[in-house]
Amino acid sequence: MGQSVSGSKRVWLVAAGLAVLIAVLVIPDWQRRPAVAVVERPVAGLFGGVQRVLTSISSWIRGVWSGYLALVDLRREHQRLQDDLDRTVRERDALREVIAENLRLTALLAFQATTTRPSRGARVIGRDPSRWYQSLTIDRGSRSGAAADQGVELPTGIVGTVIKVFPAASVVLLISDTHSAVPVLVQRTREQGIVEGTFGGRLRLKYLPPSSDIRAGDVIVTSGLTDPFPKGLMVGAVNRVERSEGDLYPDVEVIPLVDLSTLEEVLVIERLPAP
Amino acid sequence: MGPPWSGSGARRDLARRVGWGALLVLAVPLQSTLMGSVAIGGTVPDAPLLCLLLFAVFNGPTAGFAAGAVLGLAIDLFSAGVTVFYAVVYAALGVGAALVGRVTANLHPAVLIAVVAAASLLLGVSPALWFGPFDRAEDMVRWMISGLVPQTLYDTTLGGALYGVWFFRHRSTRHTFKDQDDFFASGRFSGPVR
Repeated sequence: MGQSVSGSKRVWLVAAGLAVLIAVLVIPDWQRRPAVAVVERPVAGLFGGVQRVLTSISSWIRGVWSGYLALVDLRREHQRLQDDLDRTVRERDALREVIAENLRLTALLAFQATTTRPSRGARVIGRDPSRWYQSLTIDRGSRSGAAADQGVELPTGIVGTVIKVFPAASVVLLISDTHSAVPVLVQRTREQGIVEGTFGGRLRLKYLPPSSDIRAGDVIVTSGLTDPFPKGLMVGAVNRVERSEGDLYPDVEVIPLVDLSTLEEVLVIERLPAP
Repeated sequence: MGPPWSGSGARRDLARRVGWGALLVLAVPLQSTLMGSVAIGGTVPDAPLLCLLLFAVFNGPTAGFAAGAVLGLAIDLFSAGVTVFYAVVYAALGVGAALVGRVTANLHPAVLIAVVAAASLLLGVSPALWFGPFDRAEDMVRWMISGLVPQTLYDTTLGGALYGVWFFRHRSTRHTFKDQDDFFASGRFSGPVR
């Protein structure tokens, strides 16, 4: 009997001791006491140190493993993304080209619809291989109805004249070539002259009347006196007018309205059937 | 059976002919289409001329003449010119480059560069001399400043670089007068020495 009572007491004593310990550890005021800190610090330091070592070892192993795996995956992912990016850039560039071409062709079609002159579109497939002449090759030849002396134009102005015709291609002499001469008139004053090409891509207006009132900014259009251009097509704008003592004609420099160095598509003016 | 150039002499010779033929056939289409993309300030290097000079220097005057005539005719055909002007000029340049190259190419690579410069200049000047298109002196000056000089410089630079690479790949040793003297002095020459 006595033994059972003492055993019960021990249980209570242990329970009470644990309660006091928990209270000591939990209650903040008690934690601040130096006696508690003396016990707590070494234990916490010991366990904390071991914990830190174990944690760093485990995180190092985890890092090495996951880093290796991630690196392998990352490399594959990088390659895949790079391929995707390359393909997307190519598609984007192709799309830009298609959009630009679409805009140009739409402009050509709109221009064709507004004019009564029948014309056919053609692509520029080459430039003059010599360094002396200024011409371009188009993909429309005799099989497509092209013929020598047809005019070539764009909505913004005239381009040149077909001078050589092959079955599947033609050579167009640009108006900026020194061998080109187009009869024109000054839109404002209605004075007539001849526009010829010069070296450097500009034009020179010749044979204007000596008393001409031509000024910089005047627009030059075709006069329609000879083939291949009908009257009123835009040619260029006057850039500079110089009158020298002793010269019969004024020296007039004209800048073509069409950028002849970047042509990609043109319109070949169809010849009207003889009446 | 290995590649054509690794087999017999005849097969190597065939491959060489095909290579030269492809170079000459592609020169004019290349000039009229792709060379514009390497233009600097509107000046396009003259691919047919550079190909012709290279071919003529290594293949002699007859081949140079034939190649020049064919190249020139192709240029006449696809340019706005109506004569056989370029056929004549290119044939003459082919012969000239072959003769000059045969005599002097063994001396120094710079000779080849000088040949390119002279040929480019002659090719640029010849139409002006033949057709005489300049109404005014200022036109000629403008043409020289914006056309002739940049073209010659570009052709010479590009051609010189290409020929330099070609030269050092195919001629690892150059024989100088000192080599000749050393050879005779070495006693290996068994013939009569005068």
